[in-house]
Amino acid sequence: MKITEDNKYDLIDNYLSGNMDMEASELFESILQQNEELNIEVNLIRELNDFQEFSTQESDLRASLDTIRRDHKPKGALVKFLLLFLIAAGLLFMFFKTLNQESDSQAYRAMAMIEPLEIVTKDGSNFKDIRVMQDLYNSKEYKSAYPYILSYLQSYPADLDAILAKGISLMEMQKFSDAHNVFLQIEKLNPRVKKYKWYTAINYIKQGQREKAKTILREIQSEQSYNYDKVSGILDDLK
Amino acid sequence: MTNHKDIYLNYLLSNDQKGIKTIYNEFLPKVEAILKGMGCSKDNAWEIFQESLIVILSKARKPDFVLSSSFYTYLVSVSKFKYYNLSKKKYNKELTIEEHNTLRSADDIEADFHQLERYRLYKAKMSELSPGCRQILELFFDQNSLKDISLKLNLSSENAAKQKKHQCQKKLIALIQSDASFKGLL
Repeated sequence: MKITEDNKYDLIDNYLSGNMDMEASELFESILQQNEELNIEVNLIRELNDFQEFSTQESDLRASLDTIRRDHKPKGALVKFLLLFLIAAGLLFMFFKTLNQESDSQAYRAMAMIEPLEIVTKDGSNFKDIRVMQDLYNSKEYKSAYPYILSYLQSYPADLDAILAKGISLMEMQKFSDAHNVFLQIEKLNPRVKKYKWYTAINYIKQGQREKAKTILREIQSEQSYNYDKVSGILDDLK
Repeated sequence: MTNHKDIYLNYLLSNDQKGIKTIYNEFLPKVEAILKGMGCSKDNAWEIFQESLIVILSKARKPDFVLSSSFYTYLVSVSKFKYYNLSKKKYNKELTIEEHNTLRSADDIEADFHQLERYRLYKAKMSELSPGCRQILELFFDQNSLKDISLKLNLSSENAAKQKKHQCQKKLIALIQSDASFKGLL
């Protein structure tokens, strides 16, 4: 088989299209193995016969992907917008919550403002665990202090400071109803001791019952009783 | 072992829009996450994903092509190869993806990308030909017989069409082979 520039493309076309008989085909392949340049050319023409169809398929696939991408983009933008909106809303919420917390700060300060118990300094008390009770109470370990307070009150049931400490401990243990009853007990024992009013109001604030708290606070203000000077700020905060 | 009739390959081969959308929805986020984990940008990840699907399409067109892993594994390996290739990083030829088969095919993938590049070179060189040459070669590549070509192009005979086609093919081959990138793509 002689390959010239004149017959080369005919032979290649026949070989690639399968129009060459087996003997000629095998001979052509043996020539290809020895002629690298021709081999490259044959492969190139084989690919040229194929690339046109592939180009069409590639264009179609690209167009499909672009369409899908375009369809997805607005949704992506919408999701982004919603996400940004939610973030902004969250930030605004946090901002207002912080503002609210700041404005409530007077009330929170009032709630945290609990006078220390000073029973141990009282003359004549011989309660052996009084120091432990007082230390626990003053270190705000109300749950631990509470049994000692109850024990102390068995010996000194009329000690208003201890009763108040009992009420405050119950309030701090979030037993608001029990605390309220203890504060009422103080009112009955000695209505002139107005601390119970202050802590009754705090007890209401802690329960979120603002209106009830405000009513008592206004009473404290008008009576100029315990902590009346702090009421005005708290009332403003509770508006 | 998945055969040539892999559902995703068929979506690509038939340009099934719904199926391609499935591929997009199912695999783009995963591929994007993998590539982004390797330092690739979101936009580049999309380009790589698209290019990888085109490479897979070119591969899937071959009658003897057998997918020896899941479509996802293959897509990830092609995408990773493309990314490594782009970023000139070393590529570990053995790729393992959790819960999928191991694929050892970096050489094949490189050859596939080269073929894609060659096809693009052919297309570019075709556009450099005269309109007459382009037309006759396009008709020929579209499987038109020389007789049909002679009729469509008003040529005197089948033989005249053959001679014209050979001349244009020769010009095209010369243009391709003279391109600096051609040898590197073999």
